[in-house]
Amino acid sequence: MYKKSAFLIAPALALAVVSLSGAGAMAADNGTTTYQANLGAINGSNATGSVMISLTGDQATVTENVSGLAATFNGAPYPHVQHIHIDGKGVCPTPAADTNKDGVISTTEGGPSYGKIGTTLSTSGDTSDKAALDLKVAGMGASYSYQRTFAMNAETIAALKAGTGVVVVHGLDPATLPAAAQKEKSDLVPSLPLAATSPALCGTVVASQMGAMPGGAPGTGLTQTAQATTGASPE
Amino acid sequence: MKDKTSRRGRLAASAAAGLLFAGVLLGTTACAPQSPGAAAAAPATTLAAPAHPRPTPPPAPAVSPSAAHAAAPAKPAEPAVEGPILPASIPVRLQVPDIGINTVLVPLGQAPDGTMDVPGGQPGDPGGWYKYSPTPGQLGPAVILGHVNNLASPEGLFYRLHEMKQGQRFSVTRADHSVAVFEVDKLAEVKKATFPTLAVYGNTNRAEIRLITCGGFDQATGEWTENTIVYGHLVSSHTP
Repeated sequence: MYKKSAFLIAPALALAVVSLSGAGAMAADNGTTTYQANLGAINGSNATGSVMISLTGDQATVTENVSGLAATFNGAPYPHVQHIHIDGKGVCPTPAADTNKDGVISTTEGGPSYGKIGTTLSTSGDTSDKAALDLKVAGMGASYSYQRTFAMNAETIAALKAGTGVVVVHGLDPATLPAAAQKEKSDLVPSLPLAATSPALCGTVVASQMGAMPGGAPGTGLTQTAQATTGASPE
Repeated sequence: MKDKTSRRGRLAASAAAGLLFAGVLLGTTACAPQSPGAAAAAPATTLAAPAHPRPTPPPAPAVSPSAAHAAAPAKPAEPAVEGPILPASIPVRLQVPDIGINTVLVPLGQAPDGTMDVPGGQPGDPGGWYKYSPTPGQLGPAVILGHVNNLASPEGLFYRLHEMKQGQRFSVTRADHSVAVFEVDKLAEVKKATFPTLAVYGNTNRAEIRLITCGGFDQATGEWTENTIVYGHLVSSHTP
């Protein structure tokens, strides 16, 4: 009545094949490396977020969830430009990075901590630093989920491997800035206020302890189509 | 039978009728995770609000909540490791006496769509350890799966997982004959559609473990809409 082997998706034979080194989980069969970043609030944004990067060769799939960011800007969804910064110290800036003491760590002031832009996490088109300030391809609104697969440039890949990649999401609610800082111009785009381009979320990208991050939720309940007749008693 | 979140599933009805199936077939989507591979395979850009609800992260890396209000704290990429850590060794048995689990474990890989493979569905089939997660006792989140039901009964291997409580202990025997003892940190019920991947599978600074099964059976659709997750951490190890 049952074909047991058909259901045993993980053959016991796999036991014999598995061999583990002392460090971390075994690598995935397809050479994929997974990275992750927990994004923490900067400049009092109170936002949170997380990023996963699955890298196979130069093909990177970036999955990001953020919430609690500034919601609107001039009556439209707030554009949050977001990047993987590279070649800095691989850390997020501390309050000490606010060298002009205006109460806001500007993108420029954070530079020594997280470095230059290696990749723009744009929603379409260019993912290089040339797209860094293109508001049309930014994340939009207070909360969003982002997923995109693209060819990642060699510099960013090298930084991820070196542990110096840092994800930064920009864009603060101006009302949360100190009064004087609310009047300041952006250090990057003088036509915008300082709040618009300053960091709101930051997190260092680290290698995952998982050899391969599973996609989605595990299917640990069986869907049954019953042709109910008498049979075995329940276990 | 209005209980949308019944764990017992469709078979509860027939079981109540005093008999249990004969020609039970495994559905094409066990536990019906959203669309297969939605998270891993979708190449397109998606920007949809709202994002998943922020779960309480495991006591892991990253920013401490109290510090998050201030301007960003200095955040070391690799926080200091806490608690005991064991060398790698494949898990072979899981014992959770509080809920009657004593099972062999088999390694599980990934399905082509990137989701985790799941163990067999017959009564007596084992639980599974996701072989791309750390082995239980190593630094990081070891992942162990069991079915909430099986093909002969609504009461499967991990049927009682939702009963687990903080502070309860359970053990994993490993191929090197060591027994790793874990303590429950918390129980979480999460929606499959917004599975908090990084909270469950993200890096930790202890030897941690996740016991996962399905929940939230929807009688109307016949699908399991939730996952039940026990978070635990290693407290000790011994040889039998």
